[in-house]
Amino acid sequence: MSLYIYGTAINTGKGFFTHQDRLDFFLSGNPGNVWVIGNNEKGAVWLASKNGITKTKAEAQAIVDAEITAAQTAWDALPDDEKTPSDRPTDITLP
Amino acid sequence: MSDYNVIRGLTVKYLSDDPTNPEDGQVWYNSTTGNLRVEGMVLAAAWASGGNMSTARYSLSGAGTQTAGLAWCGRAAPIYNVTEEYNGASWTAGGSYPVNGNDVGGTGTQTAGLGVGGLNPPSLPNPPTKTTVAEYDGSSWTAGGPYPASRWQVGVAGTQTAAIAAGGATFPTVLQTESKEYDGSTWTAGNAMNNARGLYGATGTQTASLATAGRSTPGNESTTTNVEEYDGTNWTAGGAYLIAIKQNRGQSGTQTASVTYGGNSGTRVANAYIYDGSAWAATASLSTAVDNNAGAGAAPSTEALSFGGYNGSPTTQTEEFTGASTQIKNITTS
Repeated sequence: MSLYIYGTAINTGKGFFTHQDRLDFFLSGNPGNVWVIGNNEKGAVWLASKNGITKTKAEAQAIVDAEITAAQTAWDALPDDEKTPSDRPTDITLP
Repeated sequence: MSDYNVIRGLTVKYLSDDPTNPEDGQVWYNSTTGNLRVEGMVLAAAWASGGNMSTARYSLSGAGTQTAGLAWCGRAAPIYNVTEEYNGASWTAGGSYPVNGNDVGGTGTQTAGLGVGGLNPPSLPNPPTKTTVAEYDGSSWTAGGPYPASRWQVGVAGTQTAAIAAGGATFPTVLQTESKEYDGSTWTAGNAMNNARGLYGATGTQTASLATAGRSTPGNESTTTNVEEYDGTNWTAGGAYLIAIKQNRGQSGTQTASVTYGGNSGTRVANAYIYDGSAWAATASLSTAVDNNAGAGAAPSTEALSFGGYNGSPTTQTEEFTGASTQIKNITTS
């Protein structure tokens, strides 16, 4: 059994994930509203309760890759003066 | 078999309500709820989602507490002068900052905030860094005593009338060691930090502040584990941060009880660490790796607010930290 569930869900703000949620299951947010969730009953219930859409790991990684590629392209297009506050977005490999 | 009163030196009281300040491990019977109860079950630290900001941005400034936070300036595609106020659940618009800027140093409270310096690259060929100092009263910003040097990336700790600003950079990025103290109207030179730094975690007071990691030399954008403490006169070495990071402006608390969250170690991190005045220890991580975020939080190490930042794109995301605590639980036999 996979350690994680993958899905997309819009962070609606307060209450989207609670203190208790964080203790009940692993949760990691990523670009493209991709969430990596600990694969247990409470994690699965949480994703469903947030109107989340379950993805395969490959699908989730593709969404993240597309977001990062777009961000890298945007950063590369900035004038040098405007690149100084932040670093070029780096690739993210989902666990 | 030992009796409870022999082990604990306490009897199991029959009470109509939970005691106000139960001792760790104390057991009592609550006759109203009909439960045998115990104090001392540890609830681990964690970050929960807070209300989303209205404007997605990074390199923003922050001040205040988890239930009375203040965010201003920052950037996405535009560079903002937007101010937002947090009430523990949602963000609402505040008065606009006098200039558009990113990486403005920030400290204070929601009703007495202080902004220092900043950067606005599109203002070229005019000087892109700012000497602007502005003070917030809960509804509008007014000019404070101008910062003696044109800087961005400055770290600021203390209050609107007793602040310490240190480090920062000239444009584009030459890091500084200077520090300056503010009394609410004028700045006076303080002793220099031992290490040049910018975009770092700054917290505490004018006489007991903490400067954590941040952009460092060589190269002006290196990561570092270096930490320094200010006693009102001198900067001395603090306990080394557990990972080398930069752009970790999410920090709150005091010099001896601080929590730092997010940053960039080459990649953006979700890590958070607690400082006790001499050493750092890992605590619960943010849900999402972020750098150039802002932070707020008054209670030492037990509450914090991380908002905004860059997590692959400028974000509105807010997270609320609650430190480990003990709680009351029912004792059941099933």
